[in-house]
Amino acid sequence: MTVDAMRRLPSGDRRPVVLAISLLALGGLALCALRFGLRPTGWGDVWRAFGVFDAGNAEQVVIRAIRLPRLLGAVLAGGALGMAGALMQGMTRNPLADPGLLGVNAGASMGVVLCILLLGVTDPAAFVWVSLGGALIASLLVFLLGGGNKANPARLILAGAAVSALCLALGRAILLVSQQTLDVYRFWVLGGFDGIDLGQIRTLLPFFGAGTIAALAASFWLNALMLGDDAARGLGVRVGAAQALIGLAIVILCGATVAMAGPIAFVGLIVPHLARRVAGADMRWLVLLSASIGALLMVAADLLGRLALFGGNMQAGVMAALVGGPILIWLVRRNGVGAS
Amino acid sequence: MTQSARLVAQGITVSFGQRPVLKDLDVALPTGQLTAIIGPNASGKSTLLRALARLQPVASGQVVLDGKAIHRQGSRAVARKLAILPQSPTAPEGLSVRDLVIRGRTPHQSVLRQWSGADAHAVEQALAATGLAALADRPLDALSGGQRQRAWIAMALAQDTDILLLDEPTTYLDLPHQIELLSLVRALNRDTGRTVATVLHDINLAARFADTILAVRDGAVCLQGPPEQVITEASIQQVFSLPCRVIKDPVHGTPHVIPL
Amino acid sequence: MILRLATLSVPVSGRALRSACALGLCAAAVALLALWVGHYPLALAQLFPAIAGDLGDVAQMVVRDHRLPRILCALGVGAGFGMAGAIFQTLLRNPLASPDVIGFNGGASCGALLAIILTGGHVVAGALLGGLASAALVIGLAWRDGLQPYRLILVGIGASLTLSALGDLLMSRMDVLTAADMAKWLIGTLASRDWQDVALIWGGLAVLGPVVLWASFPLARLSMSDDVTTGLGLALTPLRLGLSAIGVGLVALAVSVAGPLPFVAFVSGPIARCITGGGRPAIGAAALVGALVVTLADLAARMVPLVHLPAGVFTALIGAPVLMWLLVVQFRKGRF
Repeated sequence: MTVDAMRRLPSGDRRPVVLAISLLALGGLALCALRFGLRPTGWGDVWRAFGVFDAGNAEQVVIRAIRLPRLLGAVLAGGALGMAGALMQGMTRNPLADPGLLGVNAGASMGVVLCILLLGVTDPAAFVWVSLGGALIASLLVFLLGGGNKANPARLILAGAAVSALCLALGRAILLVSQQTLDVYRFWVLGGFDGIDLGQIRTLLPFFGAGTIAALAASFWLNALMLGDDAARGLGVRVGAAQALIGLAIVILCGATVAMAGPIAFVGLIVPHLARRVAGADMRWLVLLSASIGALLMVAADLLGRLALFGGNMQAGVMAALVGGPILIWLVRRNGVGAS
Repeated sequence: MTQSARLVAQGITVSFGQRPVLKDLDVALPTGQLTAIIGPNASGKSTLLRALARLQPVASGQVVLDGKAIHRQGSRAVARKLAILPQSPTAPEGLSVRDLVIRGRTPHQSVLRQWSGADAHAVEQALAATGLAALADRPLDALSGGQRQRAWIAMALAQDTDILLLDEPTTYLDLPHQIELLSLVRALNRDTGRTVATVLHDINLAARFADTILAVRDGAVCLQGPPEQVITEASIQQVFSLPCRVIKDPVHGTPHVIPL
Repeated sequence: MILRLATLSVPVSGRALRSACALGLCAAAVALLALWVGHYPLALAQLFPAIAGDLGDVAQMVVRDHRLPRILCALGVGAGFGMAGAIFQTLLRNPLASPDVIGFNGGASCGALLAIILTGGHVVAGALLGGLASAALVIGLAWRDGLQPYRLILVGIGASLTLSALGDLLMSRMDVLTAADMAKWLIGTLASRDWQDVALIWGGLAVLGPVVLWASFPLARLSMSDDVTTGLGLALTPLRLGLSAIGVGLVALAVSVAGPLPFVAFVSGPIARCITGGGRPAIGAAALVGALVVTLADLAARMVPLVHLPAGVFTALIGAPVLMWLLVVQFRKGRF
C-alpha cells in the first residue's frame, strides 16, 4: 500500500495499517540485521542457524551468538524507550520531555561510576544491577522533589532536570578526576549493543515484560489524564495511582534499557513525535506505535552503524538521532503542525 | 442605525482547510449599540467575531475599521480602538489579577513610558467595575472560574477602547453573575457610548440586554435587527431549528423564548 | 511602585526590586571573594591596592591580569546565558526550552569540530558560524505563516539532536588528543581569559543589553495566548523573530567567550522566576542568577586542588541543588 493510498483512508483506519507496516518492516530489517555484518554470511546461513544449527559452523555461531542477541537488544531497547517517551510526554504534557527526565539515565550512570570508583568493579555483568539500582534511586528522588503523590507536571519537569543535571555533572567530575574509572566507564557508556549475550537479555526480559504491561495499562488511564486531572477524576480514574503506574512503567522500561545497553539518548524524545503523526491523541495507539517505531528505528540505526562505520563504536542513540532527526523535521514540515 | 457603522465586514470568506466557515458575509456593527451575536454551535459566530477583530485572516473580502481596511492599519493602532476578549485565553502561572489588567494597557504604553496616570486610572476603574478590587493581588490561578472570567473582562475594559468584542463572556458564570456582567456591559455601552458586540448562547439574555440581535447560521448572517423584530417563533425555528413559543417577558417586555 | 527617570516610567514590584538588589549584592560579593582567594595567597589588605594602585608587583599581576579578566568574563557570560534562557523559555512558553532547543549548541559544536578538522584551529569562529547557521536553519524550517512555538520546538528537537549526533560522529573520527581538547572546550571553561575576552563579552552586552531591556516589555505579554497578544496590538511574528535573534545573539556571544557552559541558560530563568514571583519573565534577575552561577562555578573550578576541572562541570553542580531547594521551599509554601 502506498503512502498516498494510506492518506486517503480515514485516520482511524490508518493506525492499524501503519502498525502492521512498521512491524513488517521490523521483520524485514531484523532478517537483514541477521544476514549482514562484518563476516560475510548468506541467507542460507541465517536459515540453517535457526533450523539445523551446527555449533561447529563459524557463520552460524556468529549469527546465533552475536547478531541475534544484538538484534533482540535493539528491539527491546527501542520499543521500551519509545513507550517510555510516549508516556513521559503524555504525563508531563510537554513535547520536550524525554524519558531520561525522571533521572533514570543519569541515576544509572551515576550508579555505575560510583560502583567502579568505590568498589573497583570492572565486570560489565555486575553493572546491570548497579544501574537498575541507580535508576530507581534517582527517579525516586525526582518523584519526591516533584511533590510526591501530589506531583504536578511543571514541577516534576524541573525536579527531573535538576536531578539529572546534578548526577551527570557529578559523574563527569569523577570521570575527569579518576582515569581508571573513565577507562572502564567509557566502554559501558558507549557500549550500545556490542557484546550483549542472550543471558543478559534473559535476565532483563521480565523487566521489559512487566514494563510493557504497565505501559499498556497506563496508556488507557493516560487518555483520561490528558483531559486534565479533574476531568480524569470525574471519569473515575484515581489520578495519583495512575501517575504512579505511569512513573513505574517509565522507570522499569528505561532502567532495564540502560542496564542492558547504557544510556541511550534521543530515542525516547524523537519516537513519540514520529508516532503522534499517525496515532493522533489516542494514547493507547501512541504507546503501541511508539514501541514498534522505536524498535524499527533502533534496529535500523544499529544496522546502519555496523555497516557504515565498520564496527566503529558509535553510541546507538547517536545513530538513531542521525536517522530520526531529519525524519522528524520532514514530517513536521509536511504535515504542518497546527496550534497545539 | 442612526450613525454610520465604524466596524464593517465586506464579503468576508473564511475556511478551515476545505470547510468554509464564513461565506461571503457582509455585516456592519451599529455604532454605539450593544449587539448580541447568536446562532447554533459551529455556525461561525466566534469566527466572525475573530475576523472582525483581525485575529482570523480572511481568504477574501475585508474588514473595515473607520473607513480603512483593518489589516492595513497597525495592530497597535487597532488595539487602541478595538478590544477583544477571545475564548479560553491563557496567562502565565502566578500572574496576579492586577498585573493581568495592567497588560490590557499595552497598546497605550511604550517601552519608555510603561506607566502613566491614565494607566493607573483605567486599571483601577476596570477592577472596580468588575468587582475585583479586593482580589487584585491574588494570583489568577487561585481564583474561581467566574472570578477568572471577570479578570479577563477587566483586562479588556482596561484597554479603554470605543469598540469592545466579547466571545462568550458569560461562560463559567452563574446566573446572578451573568446578569451582573451583562448589566455592566450595557452600562458601559449606555454611559460611555461604547460599541459592544458579544457572542451569547442564551437567547433570552441576548433579547433582554442587546439593542441589536445578529443571528448567524451556516456561515452567513440570516437576521439582524432589534430583538422585538428579530426574535419570533419563525426566526428561532429558522436559525436554531428549534420549535418554540415566544412570549413577552412580563417584567422587561422583551421577547422570551420558551422551547417546546 | 513606579520607577521614573526623565521621560522613562516603569512599574516595578517591590519584591522584584528587593530580590534583584540581593542577587546583585551576592554576585558582587562572590566576585570580590573570587578576586581575593586563589593559589597565590593574598592578604585582604593587599586586594584593593592590587586592583587600583600601580605597584607593579606579583600580587598586582595576579589580580589584574589573571583573576580580574576571568571574573569579569564569568559575570558577563553568565548574564548572557541567563538572559537568553529566560527569553527562550518565555517565548516558547516552555520551562524546558533553552537555546539548545533551537539547535544552537548542536550547531556550535559541529561548527567547532569542522573548523578543527578543516583548518586545524579557529574553534571559536567555527562554533559561532555553526551556531548561527543552525539557528537560522531551524527558524527557516519552522517558518510557515509566522513562527508558531510548538512547531519551532519540534523542528528544533529534530535539528539539535541530528546536529549533536553529527558532532559525536565527527568526534569519534578524530585522533585522541584533538578529541580530548575538543571535549574540554565543549564542556566550557573560563581558564586563561584575558582583557580581550572581557572587551568582547561586555562590549556585546553593552549593545544587546538595552535591546533586551526594550524587548522585555513585549516579551512579558507574549506569555499569554496568541489571540490575547494580538488583541493587545502586538505583532506576533516580528516580535518572535526579533526575540529569537536577540537570544541567539546573546548565546553566540557567551559561547564564543566560554564555550557552551551547560545548564546555565536552563536554570537561571526558573530560579529567577521563583525568587521574584508574579509570573513575569524576570530577565534582569535571570541575568544576575546566571552571572552568580557562572562566577561561583569558575571559583570552584579554580579552587578544587590538584586537577583542573573546567567550569562547565560546576555550573550544574551549583545550579541544580539551588533549583531543587527552591522547589522544596515553594512546595512548603503551597505555591505549586
